Amino acid sequence: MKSLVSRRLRNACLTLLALGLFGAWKHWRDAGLAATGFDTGYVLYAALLFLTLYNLRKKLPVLPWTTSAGWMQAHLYVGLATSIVFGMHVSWTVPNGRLEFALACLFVATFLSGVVGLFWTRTLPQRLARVSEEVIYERIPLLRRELRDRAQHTVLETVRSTGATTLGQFYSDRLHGFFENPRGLGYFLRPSNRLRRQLLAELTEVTRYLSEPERKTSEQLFALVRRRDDLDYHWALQFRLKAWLFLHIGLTYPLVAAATLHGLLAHLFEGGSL
Amino acid sequence: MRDPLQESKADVYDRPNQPWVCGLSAEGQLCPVGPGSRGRCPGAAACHPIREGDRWVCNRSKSRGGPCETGPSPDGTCCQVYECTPLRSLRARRGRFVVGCVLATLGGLILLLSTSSRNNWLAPGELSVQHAQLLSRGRDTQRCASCHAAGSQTFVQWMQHAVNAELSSPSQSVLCMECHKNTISSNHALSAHSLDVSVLMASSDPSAWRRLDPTQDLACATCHQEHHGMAHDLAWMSDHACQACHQQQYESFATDHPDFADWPVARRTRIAFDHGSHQLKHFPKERQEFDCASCHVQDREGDFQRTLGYETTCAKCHDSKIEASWDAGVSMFSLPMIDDEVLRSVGRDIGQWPEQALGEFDGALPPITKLLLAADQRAATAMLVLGSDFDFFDVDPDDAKQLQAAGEIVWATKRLLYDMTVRGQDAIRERVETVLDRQLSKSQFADLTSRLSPDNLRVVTDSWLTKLSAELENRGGLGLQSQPASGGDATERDMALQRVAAGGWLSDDPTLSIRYRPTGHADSWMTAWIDVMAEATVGPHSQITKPLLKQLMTPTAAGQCGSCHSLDRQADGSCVVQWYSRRRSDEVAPFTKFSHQPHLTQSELADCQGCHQINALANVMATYSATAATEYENGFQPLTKQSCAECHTPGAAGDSCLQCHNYHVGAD
Repeated sequence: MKSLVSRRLRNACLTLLALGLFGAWKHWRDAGLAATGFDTGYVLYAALLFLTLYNLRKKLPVLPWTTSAGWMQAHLYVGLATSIVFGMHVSWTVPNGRLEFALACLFVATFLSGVVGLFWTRTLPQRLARVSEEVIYERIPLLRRELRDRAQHTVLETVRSTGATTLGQFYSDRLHGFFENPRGLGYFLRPSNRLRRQLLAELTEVTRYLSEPERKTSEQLFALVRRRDDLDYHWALQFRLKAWLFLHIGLTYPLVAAATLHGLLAHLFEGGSL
Repeated sequence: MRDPLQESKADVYDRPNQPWVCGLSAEGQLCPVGPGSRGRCPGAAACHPIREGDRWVCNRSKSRGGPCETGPSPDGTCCQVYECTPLRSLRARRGRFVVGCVLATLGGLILLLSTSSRNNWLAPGELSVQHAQLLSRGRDTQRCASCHAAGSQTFVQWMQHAVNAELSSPSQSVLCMECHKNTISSNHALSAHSLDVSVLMASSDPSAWRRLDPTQDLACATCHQEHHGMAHDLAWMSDHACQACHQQQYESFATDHPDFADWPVARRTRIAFDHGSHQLKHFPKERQEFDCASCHVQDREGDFQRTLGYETTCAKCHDSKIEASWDAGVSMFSLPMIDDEVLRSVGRDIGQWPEQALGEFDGALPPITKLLLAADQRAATAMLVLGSDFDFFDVDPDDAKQLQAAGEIVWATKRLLYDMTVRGQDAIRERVETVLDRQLSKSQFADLTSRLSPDNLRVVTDSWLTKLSAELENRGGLGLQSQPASGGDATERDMALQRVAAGGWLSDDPTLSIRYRPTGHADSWMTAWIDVMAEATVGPHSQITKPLLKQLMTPTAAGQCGSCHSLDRQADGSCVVQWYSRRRSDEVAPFTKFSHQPHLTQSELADCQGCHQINALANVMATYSATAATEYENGFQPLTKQSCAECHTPGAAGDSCLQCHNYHVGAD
């Protein structure tokens, strides 16, 4: 823990120092009536390329480009610093040209998706760890199917052995859809245990009408409902951890392309040359 | 205690990093081989049966359920074959999504660059209101091309910029000057403060350390940033921008700005006027109230306190004196007294000369006559012998050289009269143009002649010199049909003056002179001749014209012009008469600007003397005898920086550099 804190402190200080030096240098250049838009632009563009290289680094793990963890650290701090450099580049105003506004929106969206991703990758694993054991995302459909089969098999076995249909009817009405279907979009946006609590409460309510064998089966259903809800929780949160990269990487390359065009236009339409 | 959430599947091998995953993964029956790299299902069997004797036996592993009940087929193939439609992995789908985004972006950009409204999309913002009219010009591409060479170029040409620098020209600054050449001199438009480098460096220490070399040109766009919207102030500059060149650091006006020294006037007033003597002496004497507002009023913009004209401010007291000064008219020509016998003794025959003008040398030629004679090379040489301000009274009868020169001037005067009677006003124009070495403008020519009639002139000269035509013809001149006329006397002159009371020409036979009666103050004939004299004070005739101008500008000369209108020497050595007081049009964007309007609304500043305190002890008029306008004694107490700094602070009236200073000095 101590090393983590000291590492973050060191990296944050280095980032702030670099930003401070760059800001002072820009102020110095501004005072000399230099075209600092090009200075900040080139630094920002170089930072974007560096940040983009991280994806390439992950695709080419064989190359001796230091560790992925090191790249990740650099990616985080450089990425955070680009927001300040971007602010300097646009003079802390909203660009009013169409292309430049679109470019600014692309940058802000990419930056925010990165910040959100950073927040999720730092908080969601802890929330998942508090739920249950680790679950591999790709196996969740399989596990979900197995839970459904186990629940159906248990209920059918009980109906078959006791002839009582109360639990079977309850399963058919309330639990079959829960085990069969994936959760809706609302759950992915804001996962909660409301449905689980509701189903468990209903199952508890119906228990007094059950026979003894059905009560034993209902105990197993309690456990299966909890497991399914935990699995859905895993699925929703792990989906977040994977889905934000769709947006982040999906925006990165268009951002680089638009920034390249912007740089080209800036030179072509430059007014500062004699 | 819960059962483990994850079922034991020890032999399941997940390949989320592969582009394809088994389509049966959700069924729990995924095959151990997995899809190929191109997404094809290999159709793998659950086991590879083994042969035991004559039978085939299932060898499916326990982890997959052990040997199946059905068992292998008779030909030894497994009865359970995994067949699926492989699915793309999440990673592969993400990759395709990213590629789709990139392609969509590139497509969008190519589309954007291909459309006719390309420049509208690429423009980095609206133009300022001053340049907004560019948007209404022609096609979209041409709008940008007004300021950017690349504006009308194709994408291919843009790419060629890397290898062909010609495509980058003309630069934007050059294009700026296409429109602004009438307001800023193209020679120094890009120089600091639009000044010549030598002028700029003369005002500061060239060895001082600066962040920006002030001798280097600056592009217009360095300060004038466009595309920031209609309301953007193009002329705005931060104080820090000024400090790029200025070595002295200004944190605030109150603490760092130097004292004003000679601001707001670095020269004497154009009209020689002693405020102190008028306030304390002349106005009380005439029982007039000395009120600043009776002579100075705000101009239309309210920035400038202009001085009212002569008729409003001065005529009441000065008109009578001026009228008196030219009561007898102003001589343009006059024939002096000539001692023909003395001249004849040195072999100089002057031919016919009016009887009444024969006798001992006396009288002076009018300055205008002398100026016209200066165009005659022989006369000019003779005048240099006698001195251009000579009077015939001063001619020494014992000095043969002076007598020869006097004789030459007599003949030159006769030639001048003859020339004027033959060619009329053209004779005047040609001689003045010879002296000035330039063409006269039409209006200037009209002012100089003031409708002088050659016919009348001929009548007058014929009455004075009846043989002038014959004499000059014998000396190679033009023919002249003269008509003798009777002479006049003093009474006739008075009557003649009365006849031209509103201004005009008259002849005076007793003095043998042709005179002009000015129309009044600011008479165009008078001012035109004085301007010509002043202009001619530089050049080959300067030795002659300088004393003539001095003669005309003495306070006691006809019109008393020199008593109020100062004479300033210019950089080229010539003089200029200041006919007007300080005018806004005389000062095109000086370095320091000031608007009276916002200041006069302050009650404590409404009284002019709150700032402009008259210095009654100053000997203001003494400096007007010289022609150096900047060497003067100020009639007012100097303005102090402290009086401005009371209000001009960052939190009050402001103290930015551009509040009081123009960057482009001399621009309209």
